[in-house]
Amino acid sequence: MLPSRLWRRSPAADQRVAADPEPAPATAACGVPFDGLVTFYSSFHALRAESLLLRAGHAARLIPGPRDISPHCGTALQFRYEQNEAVAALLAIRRVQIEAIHHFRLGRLAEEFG
Amino acid sequence: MLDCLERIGGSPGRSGHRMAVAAARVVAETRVALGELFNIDDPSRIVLTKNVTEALNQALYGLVGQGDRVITTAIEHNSVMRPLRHLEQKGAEISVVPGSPDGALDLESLALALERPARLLVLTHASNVIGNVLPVAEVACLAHAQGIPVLLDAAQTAGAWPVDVQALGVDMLAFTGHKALFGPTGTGGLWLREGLELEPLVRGGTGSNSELELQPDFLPDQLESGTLNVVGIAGLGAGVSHVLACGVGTIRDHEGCLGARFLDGLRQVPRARPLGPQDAAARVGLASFNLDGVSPSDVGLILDRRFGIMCRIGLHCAPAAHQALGTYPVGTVRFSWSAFTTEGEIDAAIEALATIARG
Ligand SMILES: Cc1ncc(COP(=O)(O)O)c(C=O)c1O
Repeated sequence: MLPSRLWRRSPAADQRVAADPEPAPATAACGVPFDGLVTFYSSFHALRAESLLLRAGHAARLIPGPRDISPHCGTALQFRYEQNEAVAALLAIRRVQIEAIHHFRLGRLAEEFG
Repeated sequence: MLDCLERIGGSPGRSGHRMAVAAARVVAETRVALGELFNIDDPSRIVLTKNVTEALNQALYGLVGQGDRVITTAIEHNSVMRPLRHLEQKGAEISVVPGSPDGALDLESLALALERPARLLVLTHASNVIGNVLPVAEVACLAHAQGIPVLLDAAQTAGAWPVDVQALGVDMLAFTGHKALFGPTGTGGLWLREGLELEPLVRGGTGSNSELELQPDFLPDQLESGTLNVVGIAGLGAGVSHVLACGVGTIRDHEGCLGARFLDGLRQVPRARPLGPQDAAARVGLASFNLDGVSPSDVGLILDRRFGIMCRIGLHCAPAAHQALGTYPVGTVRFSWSAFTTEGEIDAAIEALATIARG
């Protein structure tokens, strides 16, 4: 074990660190699970898409890209599939490069705990 | 940056967990802020590098091959000239448009150089020796008339002078983070117009297409191999946000006022010999001069030790520019100021120079 003086943070730093990056809510709204997924080649585009969707009032959440759907990018974006057309149009207009849009729900375990 | 180190600490694009996503978000926000500053439609075509030198190298080595001709100017920084001279050794042809003794670009010689086909025209937006701003929109227009794309080195102007890639009509823009964008050292980037393809300078992990052993062919990943300087990029993003909040116009006006004050003051300093155009409206926040009878290095030493004023003396990594100005090989004393410089500091600098000149 390292001597504690080597790793102890100052109380001020402790406080700052306590404000960890918040995970996004697991469901789209009122417990409705996300059932749409956008996959990307580049994580930059995933981040762009998230910010554009949220700003346009869509529910959206970034998740680790499910490998069974796409091996390409580490990050994918969940959304409500009923908004599929609006989302596709928004991303196309803002020139976000996507791999594909899928009708996709996480497995039961991931949906329950993620 | 502290927040990034303490709370985020993830590797962007390498995972989907919250710290990796937070890191990717920092990088994405910086890219978007840069896009806004430079009027770039598609921020994914901005590649983040460790400085403008790396960005310029990526652009030059990524585009220029054996037998290609490149046009440039005699007032370029070595970050352009050295890669070009190396490419010349490897079989490229380099044409250097001369500068005039007042530091301006000779547009007639430029037009002449443009008469023969070339792969690229590369030039700086402003001279880092005397600060004059080049007529880039006009030059780009001439180059495009011959079908020659333009790479702009905006090290001296990004953040301090309007840099609008659409208004300037350039095809690639290279910038550094640690000057007027108020980012930390070790940050910078390159934007390239849609349709331009560059050969990557570095290949490796990008977090994308991990199933393939070939480099991705999409931006920004294609030209951004290896873990990014996320902490530095967080600082760059904060700096660019500050510039956007102040407005480049406001910063430019402030620096222009300081420039006029400095140039006016310098005229009262005995033995001072200012260089370049004396119109503060035509230059970025810097000025070069010499004090007759005192070497630039002595002026620099006295300013630092006796007055606590830091400036840069010598050739400023631009030997050809000094040759055109007639100040080679001794160089000049160069002062620069920014959005954070005050009138009182300019006055103190002039006062110190007057004291040295009366010596
Ligand atoms: C015009 C110009 N180009 C390139 C550079 C190199 O910048 P960096 O060292 O950040 O790559 C500088 C600054 O030193 C400069 O003024």
